[in-house]
Amino acid sequence: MMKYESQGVAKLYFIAAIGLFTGQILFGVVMGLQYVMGDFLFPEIPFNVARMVHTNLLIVWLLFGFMGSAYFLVPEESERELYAPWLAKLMFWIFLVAGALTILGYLLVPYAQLADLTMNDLLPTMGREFLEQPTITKIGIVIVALAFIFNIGMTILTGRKTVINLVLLTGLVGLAVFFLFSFYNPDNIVLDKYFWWFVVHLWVEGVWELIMASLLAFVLIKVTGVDREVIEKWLYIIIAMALISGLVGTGHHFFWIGTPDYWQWLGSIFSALEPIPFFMMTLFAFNVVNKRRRDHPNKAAVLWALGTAVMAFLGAGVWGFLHTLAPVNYYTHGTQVTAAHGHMAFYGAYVMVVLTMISYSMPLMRGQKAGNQKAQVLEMWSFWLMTVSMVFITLFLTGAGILQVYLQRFSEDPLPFMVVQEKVALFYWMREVAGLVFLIGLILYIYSFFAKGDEVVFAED
Amino acid sequence: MNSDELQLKRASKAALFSLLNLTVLPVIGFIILLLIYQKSSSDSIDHYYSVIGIKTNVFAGIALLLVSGLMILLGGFDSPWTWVYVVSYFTFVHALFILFATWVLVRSWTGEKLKKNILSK
Amino acid sequence: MSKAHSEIEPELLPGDLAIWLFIFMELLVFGIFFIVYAIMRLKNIEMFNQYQLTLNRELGAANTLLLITSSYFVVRAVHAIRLNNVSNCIHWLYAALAGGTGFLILKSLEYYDKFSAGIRLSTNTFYMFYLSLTLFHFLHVILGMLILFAIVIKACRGAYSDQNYTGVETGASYWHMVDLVWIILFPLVYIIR
Ligand code: HEM
Ligand code: HEM
Ligand SMILES: [Fe+2]
Repeated sequence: MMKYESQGVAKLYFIAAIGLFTGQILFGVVMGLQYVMGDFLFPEIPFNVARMVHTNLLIVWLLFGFMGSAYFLVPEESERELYAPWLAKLMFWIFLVAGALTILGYLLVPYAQLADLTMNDLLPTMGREFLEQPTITKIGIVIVALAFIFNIGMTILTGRKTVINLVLLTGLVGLAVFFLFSFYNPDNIVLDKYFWWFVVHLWVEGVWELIMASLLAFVLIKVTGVDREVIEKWLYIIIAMALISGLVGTGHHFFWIGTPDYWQWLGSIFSALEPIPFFMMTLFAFNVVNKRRRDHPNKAAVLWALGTAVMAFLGAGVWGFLHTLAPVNYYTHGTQVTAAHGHMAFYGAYVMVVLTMISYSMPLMRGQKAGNQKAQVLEMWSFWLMTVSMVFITLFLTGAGILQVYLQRFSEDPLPFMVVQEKVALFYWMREVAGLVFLIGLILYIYSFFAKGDEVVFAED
Repeated sequence: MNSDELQLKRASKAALFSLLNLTVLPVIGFIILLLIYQKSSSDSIDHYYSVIGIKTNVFAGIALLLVSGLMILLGGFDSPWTWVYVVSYFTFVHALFILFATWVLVRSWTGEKLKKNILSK
Repeated sequence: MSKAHSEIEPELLPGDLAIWLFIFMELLVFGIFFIVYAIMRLKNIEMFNQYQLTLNRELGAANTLLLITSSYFVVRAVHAIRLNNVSNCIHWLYAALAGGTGFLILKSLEYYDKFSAGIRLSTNTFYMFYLSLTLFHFLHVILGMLILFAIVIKACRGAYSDQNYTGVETGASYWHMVDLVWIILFPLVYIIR
C-alpha cells in the first residue's frame, strides 16, 4: 500500500514515538499527583526530575515523530525511494539508545553527578529547561539531525520538488540550526535566557510551524483529493505570516528578563499577530475538507487533521494571545496560565500533527488503506478522550492561574506563593483527574492498533 | 457580473464580516453586516448568510457580553472567583464562536448552505 | 444554485483570496504599529517633536518620490502585459526594481548616519519606533523586490501573456502595498508635529 518501500522506516520512528509519549504522560500524571501530595514517590522520583523527564520525553518523541513523518512524506512527494534507508535505520537506533540512556541518567543519577559524568564542564550546556540533556547527548542529537537532513535533503534534491517537501525541509533545517543555540551558554544570566528563547520560541513559534503546515497539507491533500495548487498558495501565506510575526514575536519573552524595555513594545505588537498563522491553518483545513473531492476511508485521519487545526488555534492562538501583551504578562508571567497555554499549544499543534501523520500512514505501512472499522472507532474515541481531557486540563490550569494571579500578585495584600498554592489545590486535583482520563485515552489509542474487525469498504480514488 | 455571482460575493462578504465582527472589527463589522442584509432579497444565498451572521453575532453578544456582565454583577467585581469564571468562560466561548464563524465562512465560499456534516456526505 | 456554483468558482478561488488576506494582514501589522506609535507620541509629544527634527526629511521625501514613481512603473508593467507586450512589461518591472534599489540605497545612507551618531533602539522611545518601523518597512521593500524579481524571471521564461497575468498583478498589488505603507509612514514619523 505504500508507494515506496523505503517509506516503511517511518514505522520504527512512530512506534518509538508512541512509546516515549506513553512515558511522558505517565510522568505527567505522577507530577500531577505530586502537586497535591508533595511526598508522593519521594525520594525515588523527585518532582524536578519527573518534570525534566516529562518535558524531555515530549521533545524527544516529537522529534521522533517529525523524523518518521518526514521519512514517510518525502519519498512520496519526491517520487523516489529514500536516498539512504539504511542511514535512516542506523540513526533511529543511535537516537533511541542515546535518548534512553539520557532519560535513565536523569532517573538514576542526581543531575549534578550526571553533569560530572558527562563532563559538562568541558562545554557547559546543561541545566536549562527543555535543554537539560548532557552535552554529549546534544552532540548526538546534532549528528542524528545532520544525517537525517542529509538523507531527506538528497531525496528531495534528486527527486520531484514540491512546495510541501521544500517547506518541510526548510522547517527541519531551521530546527537543526536553532538547536545550535543550545551550545551557547553565556555566563550573563540575561544573555543566557535571551539565547535560550532562540531555541524554544523560534522552534515552536517559528520553524516548527513550517513543519506542521507541510505535514497537515500533505495529509489533507491525500484524504481530500483537493488540488495541490490551491494548497500551495495557502502554504506560502501561512509561512510568511508565521515568520513575520514569530521572529520578532520572540520579544514576548523579553519583557522582564533584563533586556531593554523596547521589547515590551516589539514583543507585544508582533506576538499579538502570531495567532494569525494558526488561524490561517484552521481556515485552510476547514476549506480543504469542505472542498473535498472524495471521502477517504480513513475517517480517523481526517478527524485528527481537523482536530489539529482547531486545537492548535485554541492552544497557541487563543491561549497564547491571552497572556502575550506586556501589561497582561506582567501579572501572568510564569503562573499556571503559562502552563495551561504550554499544554494546550504543544498538544494541539505538535502532538496532534504527529498523531495525524501516524493515523494516516500507519495503516498504509501495514498494508491497508485504512484501519478496520473497529480500530477506527476506537481511535476516534481515543481522539475525543485525549482532546477533551486536554481542554479540561487547560481550563483547570487557567482557573488555577487566574486565582494565583489575583491572590498572589493583583490583590492589595498579596499572599505568599505557598499559601496560594494551598488555595488552588482543588484545581490541581481536577487537573489530575483529567490527566488520568488523558492516560486512558492514550491506552485506548495504542490498543486501537491491535483491534481486529471488519475491513472498511473502500471508496475508489 | 450576473446576479448569481453578485449574490455569492455578497454571501461570502457577509460571512467574512460576521467573523470580523467577532474578532478585529467589533461593531463596524456588524454595521456592514446589516447593510449587506438590507441589500439582499429574501430567499437568496446572501440573505441566508447575512441572517446567519446577524444571528451568530447577536447570540455571541448575549452569550459573551451579557453573561459575562451578569457574572461580574452577581459574583462581585472584587472577588477572585468572578474573574476565574469570567476569563475562562469568555476566552473559551469566544473561541468557539470564532471557530463556528470560520466554518460558516468556508461554507459560504462554495455557495452552499450550512448543513451537511463535516465527516459524512 | 449549482449553476452559480460552477460559474463562480474561479472568481472566488481561495488562492487569490489568500494573497489578498496576506496583504490585508500586513496592513494590519503596520496599522497596529502606527496606532501604537501615535499613542506613544501623544504621551511624549515634546520628546517626539524634539528628536523628529534630527531626521533627514530631504532623504525621506526623495524616497517617497522614488517609491511612488516605481509604483507607477509596475502599473505600466501590468498594462503592458495586458496588451501581451512581454518585453515592455519586463522593462517596466526593471524600472520599478531600480526605484526600489534607489530607496534602499538612500535609506542605508540615512541609517549609516544615525548609527554612526550612536543612535540605537534603546536610545529613546522615539528612536525605538523610528528604527523599528523603518527597518520593518525596509525588509518589506526587499521582500517586494524579491517578488518583482521572481516575476521578471518568470516573464523572461514566457510564463505571462494577455491571457494569464495574475502573477504580475499579484506582485504589483504587493508593491503598491509597500508603497502605501511608506506614504503613511513618512508623514507620520518624519513630518507631523
Ligand atoms: C504551537 C505553538 C506554541 C507552543 C508549543 C507554545 C508553548 C509554550 C510553552 C511551553 C511556554 C512556557 C515556556 C516556559 O516558560 O517554560 C510558552 C510561553 C509563552 N507563550 Fe507560547 N507556545 C506556542 C505559541 C504561542 C503563541 C502563538 C503565543 C502568542 C500569541 C504564545 C505566547 C506565549 C507567551 C506570552 C509565553 C510566556 C508566558 C510567561 O510569561 O510565563 N505562545 N509557550
Ligand atoms: C500530550 C500531553 C501533554 C503535553 C504536550 C505536556 C506538555 C508539558 C509542557 C510543555 C510542560 C512545561 C510547561 C511549562 O514550562 O510551563 C509540562 C509540565 C507539566 N505537565 Fe505536562 N504535558 C502533557 C500531559 C500532561 C498530563 C496528562 C499531566 C498530568 C496530569 C501533565 C502534568 C504536568 C505537570 C504537573 C507539569 C509541571 C508544571 C510545573 O512545573 O508547574 N502533563 N507539560
Ligand atoms: Fe513564544
